[in-house]
Amino acid sequence: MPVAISIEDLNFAYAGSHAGALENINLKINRGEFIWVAGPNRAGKSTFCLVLNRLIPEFLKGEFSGSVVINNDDISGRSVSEMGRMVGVVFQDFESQIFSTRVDLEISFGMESAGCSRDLMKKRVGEVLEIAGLTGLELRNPATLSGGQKQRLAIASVLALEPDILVLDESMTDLDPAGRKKILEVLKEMKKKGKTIIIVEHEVEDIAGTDSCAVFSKGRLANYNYTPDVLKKPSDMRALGIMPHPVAELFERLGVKEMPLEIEDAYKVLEKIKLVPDRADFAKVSGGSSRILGEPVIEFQNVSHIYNNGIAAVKNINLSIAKGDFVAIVGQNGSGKTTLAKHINRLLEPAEGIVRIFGDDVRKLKRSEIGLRVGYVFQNPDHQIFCETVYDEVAFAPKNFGMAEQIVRQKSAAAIETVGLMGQENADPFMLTRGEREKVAVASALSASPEIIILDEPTTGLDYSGRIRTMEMLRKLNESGKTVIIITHAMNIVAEYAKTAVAMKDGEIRYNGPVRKFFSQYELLGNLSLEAPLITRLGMKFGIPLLNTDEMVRLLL
Amino acid sequence: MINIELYADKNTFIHRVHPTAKIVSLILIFAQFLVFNAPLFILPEFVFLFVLVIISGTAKNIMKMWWVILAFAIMSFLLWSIFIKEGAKVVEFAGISVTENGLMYSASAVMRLTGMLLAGMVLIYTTRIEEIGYGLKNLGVPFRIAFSLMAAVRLLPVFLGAGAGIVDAQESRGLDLRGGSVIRRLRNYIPLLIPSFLYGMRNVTQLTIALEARGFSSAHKRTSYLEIKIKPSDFIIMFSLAGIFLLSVSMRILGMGRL
Repeated sequence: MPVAISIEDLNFAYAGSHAGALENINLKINRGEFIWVAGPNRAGKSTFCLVLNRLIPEFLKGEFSGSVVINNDDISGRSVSEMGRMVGVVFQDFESQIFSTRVDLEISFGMESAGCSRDLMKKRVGEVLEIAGLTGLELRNPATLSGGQKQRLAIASVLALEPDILVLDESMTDLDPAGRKKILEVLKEMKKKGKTIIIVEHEVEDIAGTDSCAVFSKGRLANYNYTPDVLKKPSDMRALGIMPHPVAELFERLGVKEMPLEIEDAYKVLEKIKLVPDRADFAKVSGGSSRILGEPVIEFQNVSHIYNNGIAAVKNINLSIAKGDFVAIVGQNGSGKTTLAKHINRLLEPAEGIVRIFGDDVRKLKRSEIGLRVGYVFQNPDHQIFCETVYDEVAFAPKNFGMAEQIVRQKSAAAIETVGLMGQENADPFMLTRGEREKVAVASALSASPEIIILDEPTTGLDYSGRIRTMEMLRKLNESGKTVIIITHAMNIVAEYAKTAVAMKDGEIRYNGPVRKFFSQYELLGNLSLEAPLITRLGMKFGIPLLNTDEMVRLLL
Repeated sequence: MINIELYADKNTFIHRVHPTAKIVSLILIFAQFLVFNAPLFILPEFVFLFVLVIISGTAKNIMKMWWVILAFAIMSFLLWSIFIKEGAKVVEFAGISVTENGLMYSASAVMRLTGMLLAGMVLIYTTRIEEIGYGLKNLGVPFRIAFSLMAAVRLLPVFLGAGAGIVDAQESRGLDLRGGSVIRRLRNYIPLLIPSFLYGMRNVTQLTIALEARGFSSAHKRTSYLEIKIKPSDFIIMFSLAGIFLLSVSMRILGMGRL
């Protein structure tokens, strides 16, 4: 098979940094292969992507050595703009890579730079619109598209230059499950057309279609093998800081030699070796009574909210959240999750209806009174961090609420300890990693000791270990009596950590109840374009709604 | 969610005018405003702009910015009426006198400034940023300069969006931005400027990288996907405005419309 990418002795260190971002990388990728690039944050994955189209070292400077050969062409003398016709790169943030005010103009941007004729541009715009599933939207303003559509537009505008290699650097991270699925379909289509595809991704349940996996760790290529071979060694994956495949992990813990990856195969293997879960034991493992909840602390009564453009974002919401609950609000983008949550601390006010916290109408409370009861962590920690040190950031809220100096110090210290940032009090938040900044954001919401804490997408962009640490911290907070509400797209997190699921679609609540019951309703999940986690689906094969690997193991052993 | 898109997607006669003709017309309208000093001679063009706003269907969008226009009008009125000292005094207050000449000048200045502002707004509201780029390119403006102008328009919503997110985040931590005196409210906003700017800059870098990856600084001569044919009506518009301008200049040379 012809080689698409051949890299030898590649080293790169960003200007001003001592540590190498990439060290001694050697690898070959065949033409038409679908590659999954895995690894924890800061392992060198993005750096690797940027090397492929010469943004490194042309645009982002540093110390570069080694050779990169693409389609038998040593690219060392090439400019970034030439590379666009060989390697197309799509980035994570779909808002900031789109420039134009019309879909077709966005797609033609690169071709205009390359000096293509108008007829050719028209032809290719039509072609890539079809590949990306955007036909009919060519005259729309990209600002009016959904996140998934925007990301497919970014893919389309890169494809317009007909590169042989397509690179997606965490391009699905900010998308909802339906948006991710659609992108994966587009990629499979591209693979059929013979393109080489490289995707950087944290979500192990979404990479089933890839051929090979390159695992990066601390700037080195730690493993490069066929994807199933990598997935079948869950302990190696954990050691490298990437999410193990849940089914493989289950079989590892069961001590079974065979290691299936698909649910169907797993079911067959379990049947064959007669390791079949017994429904009668289910009550024992599920702990049956773990969802005993207190008095309602948040109440929505016929709440509707209408945005300036006349669109009703949430409609006639009736919802009661009890003290000590751990609630996951799920649903596709635009279903009204964030709008709903912002009513709880009155960042938004209802057009109709009443929102109460601890029995009080939020409209009658002072902002400071709300802030003392409800902490809110925003989707992007960079939206809320603005102080020069971690301590100042964390102490901001209690200071604002007029607490005495000594209490401010006490509470801030406690919050910093809860998130595990001791010793970093004087660090500049902007110098921390994304995961650490998330912790700063959580600590700064905790420091006023609110009874309720709301987190919008707390795990987006975090790697496997960052994700576990954040979620374990939330679990502890919940166990200490706080009411925790998260908005998330990650169903495995909902299954593992939440007690109650609230599912939204088109501004309405379609489900509100125990998580276990939620994931056992296939029809409802289908209507919401959501899918239960792999282990739950495996459990359902035996008619048992299991939520995680632990439960399954306890039931089988 | 905020929507700060400037272009108003409609299909009026003004929207359909060729972008090059629109830019030339804007320049002529600006120049025309500078020919006369006497308010009576500026009035017809001022009235014409209101007609333009109405036929371009942008009245609603422009009304949203009424406070900007009003601030401009008041500022120029006050400044001119105070600083022109010649002529008969009309009022005197606390040592500041306002003269007849001053009033005339300020009436002209108000019409001139708000008129130019309206003309600029009509252009922005009826023309896509790509069309403005296309028009500038036709006039021989280098792409990089045209692109910077386009980028400024494109990035406005990015910075405002970043600001709105940060305001939400700080309000939820007890920063009171809605109460207190105007000065106090302004002061409360200051700490938000830095993170808004930083976040905006990060977005700009991302955009730069994404566009560069699509060959932005390619050595090829840039082609254009947009193709807008210039129509006879576009020429009629440009020539009429140019004709009026030349006529006005001649009138001015003959001493008309002077104060």
